[in-house]
Amino acid sequence: MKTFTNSNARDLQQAVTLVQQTHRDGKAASFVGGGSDLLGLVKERLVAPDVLVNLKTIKGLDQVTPAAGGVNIGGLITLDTLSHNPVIRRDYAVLAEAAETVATPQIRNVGTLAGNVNQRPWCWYFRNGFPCFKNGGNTCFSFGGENQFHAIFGGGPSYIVHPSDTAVALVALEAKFRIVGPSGERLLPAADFFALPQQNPARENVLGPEEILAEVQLPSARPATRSTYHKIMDREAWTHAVVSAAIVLEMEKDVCRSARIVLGGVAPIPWRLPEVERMLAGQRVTEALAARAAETALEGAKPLAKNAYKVPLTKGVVRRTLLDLASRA
Amino acid sequence: MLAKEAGAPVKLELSRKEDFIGVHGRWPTVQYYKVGVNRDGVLKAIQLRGYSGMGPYRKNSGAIGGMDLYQCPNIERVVFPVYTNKTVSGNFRGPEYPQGFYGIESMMDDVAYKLKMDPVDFILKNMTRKANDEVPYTNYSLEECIRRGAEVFEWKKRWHPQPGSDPGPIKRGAGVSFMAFRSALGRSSAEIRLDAKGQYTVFVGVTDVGPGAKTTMAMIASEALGVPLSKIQVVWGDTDRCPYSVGESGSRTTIQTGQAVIEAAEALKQQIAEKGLPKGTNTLKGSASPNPVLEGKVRAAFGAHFVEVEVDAELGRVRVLKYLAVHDSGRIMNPLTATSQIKGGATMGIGMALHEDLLYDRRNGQPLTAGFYGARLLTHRDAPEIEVIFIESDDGYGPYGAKSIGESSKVPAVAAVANAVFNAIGRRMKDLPITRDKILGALA
Repeated sequence: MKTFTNSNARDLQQAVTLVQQTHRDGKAASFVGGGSDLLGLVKERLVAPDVLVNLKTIKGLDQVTPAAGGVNIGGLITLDTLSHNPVIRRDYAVLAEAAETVATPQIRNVGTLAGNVNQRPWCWYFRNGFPCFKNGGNTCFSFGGENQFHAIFGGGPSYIVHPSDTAVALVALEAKFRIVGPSGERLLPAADFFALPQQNPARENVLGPEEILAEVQLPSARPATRSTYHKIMDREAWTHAVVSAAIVLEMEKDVCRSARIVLGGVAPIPWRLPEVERMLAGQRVTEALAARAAETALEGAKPLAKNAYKVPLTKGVVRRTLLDLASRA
Repeated sequence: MLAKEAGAPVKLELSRKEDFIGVHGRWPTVQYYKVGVNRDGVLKAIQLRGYSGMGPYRKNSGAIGGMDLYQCPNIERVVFPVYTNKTVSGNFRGPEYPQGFYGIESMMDDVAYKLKMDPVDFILKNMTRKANDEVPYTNYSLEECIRRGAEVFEWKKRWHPQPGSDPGPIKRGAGVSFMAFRSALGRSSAEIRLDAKGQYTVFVGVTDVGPGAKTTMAMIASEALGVPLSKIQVVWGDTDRCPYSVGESGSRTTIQTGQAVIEAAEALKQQIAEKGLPKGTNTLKGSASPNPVLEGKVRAAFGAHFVEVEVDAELGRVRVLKYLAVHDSGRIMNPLTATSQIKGGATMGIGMALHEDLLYDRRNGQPLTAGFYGARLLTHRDAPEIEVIFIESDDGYGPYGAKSIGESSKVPAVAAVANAVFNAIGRRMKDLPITRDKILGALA
């Protein structure tokens, strides 16, 4: 492992300045929160920062605070704290459930929300140091290789799937991301934060190298809204989603007023299903409707040589999760 | 070489990934079977053509075991160890058997269904009662393991005569497999010292890699010496102070080193009888290096595993609902550690059947899933409750009749799980591990 120095940041502005300075000195820098992903990448020599700018020393960025029209969540909140927060559990269950499915208790105890959203893909070619797009190369080895866990939507030229559980939930909740960088702050809808490989196959989002995902803002929970996260795993702990679904339903008795459905594990970004959302609005969620929604959800899927199973699997997940959520008392 | 050159101890440290790549795993196999059987279910012929992937050099046999457990007048087995560009293969828990039993037991399971026979009846009808159908075992309890297991497991209730007949979408099914595994006698050494304070110290070269050999050796010494366990301490694995050992492998520690401990205890008792108890700084020492041999017989541990699974036919998920392992490992020295050995082996077998895989990129031979995350090892939450029954026996050999345990517990596990999946979904899964993609592919 390459050695690096650690700089504790006092506040966000100073953190940005520290990284800028390091870059000006011609050295590599990374922001670090929990470090559960970054240190693995450093050990595997996939990244080689000279300086780590430690964000954990910034106070107040690990809280859930009520805000006008919703709640704000500091990017440094641990996944464990987030998943146990009573407000999140009550009003944004999909996020609490997504956070509690991540990896293992050890990782949830140190891993942060912002880190989970920003973690690099878990494609085995990338993680094993193949010279792929994500490692600065110009090819995707999964295409024509081992692609059991790769994308069936939105792929090309890279076919990774986005690894974050919470990202899927945040897109379904129509969260906004507050980003702090050299030119100040910007606020982005979660859906605009993630970027397809067509845009830039080396990255998974639009966050700049000197920018920090500081805070996640959730809009107020509409009344009679219920939500859930269903994650298909290869084993009962410590895996990323083979496929997952985040569903938010606004119900009036047994009629669905509005729906938001986002899939994980199927695309290089959290994959929202606007057509399915439209077909559910104003409808009773029956067995037949759920089955049709599942069919529609998978329209246009382009499986690779070894991941065709994701199509029936995802249909099953959408159908069952939808029915289960709609029928909850 | 480095230690010699440097004149100092050298520590070799491997990352988990390097361990996966540089230290051997089980040899992968391709197995083709042909079986001839009469309408009444009597085996007439078994033919195996097999290939074992050995990696870049030959470390161990590459054999494919299992078919030797069937009584059959015509057996042909041709196995080709093949050199590959993958990581090296070698002996790993029950070397040639877990994968071999998966092959032959999948085949025999198919044969039984074709004959409309219950697989338990088919096994009972055709399994060998002698080693290689020739040499008698020192004791024989395989039939009892199977019958007892079928009864306790309630096999008839859980098994579907028509595979895949559970309407689902969550389909249940049951599977069975059995095994015999060598419990060979052999050379081993031990030494016991007694000091004037009445403290006994057992020296054995064997390392305790987790199965509890240290405790077991103390228990055997306690029994042989007739003194309480609290008076005995064990020094193990120290090459400077302990007699030679080949190491903890081959399920030989309890049966071979244990025998040496008994004989060292006898030698020490002889010393005490001759010289009296030691006084002051004096100590007494008894040591032994027995090398017992068996003539005209074969010692083996026996076992049968019964598994019930449920398969979610829509999501492709397999869950083990019930797992029963019945074993004859001779006299059980330490019920707690012996039971843990069986549970550990069965859990490893479930992992091999349903989870673990070392995948390579075909174009360049690079491993993709080296490490505990990538290889998808079972976690505690994946391991089901495993019920263990011991049928204890004493064949008059080994320490108080103890036979092998550690490796044998993995041997039938893979086949039993795979056969349960077949019983649930009615599709023969011919490629390990039986993962979601393969199940959904088979059911599509």
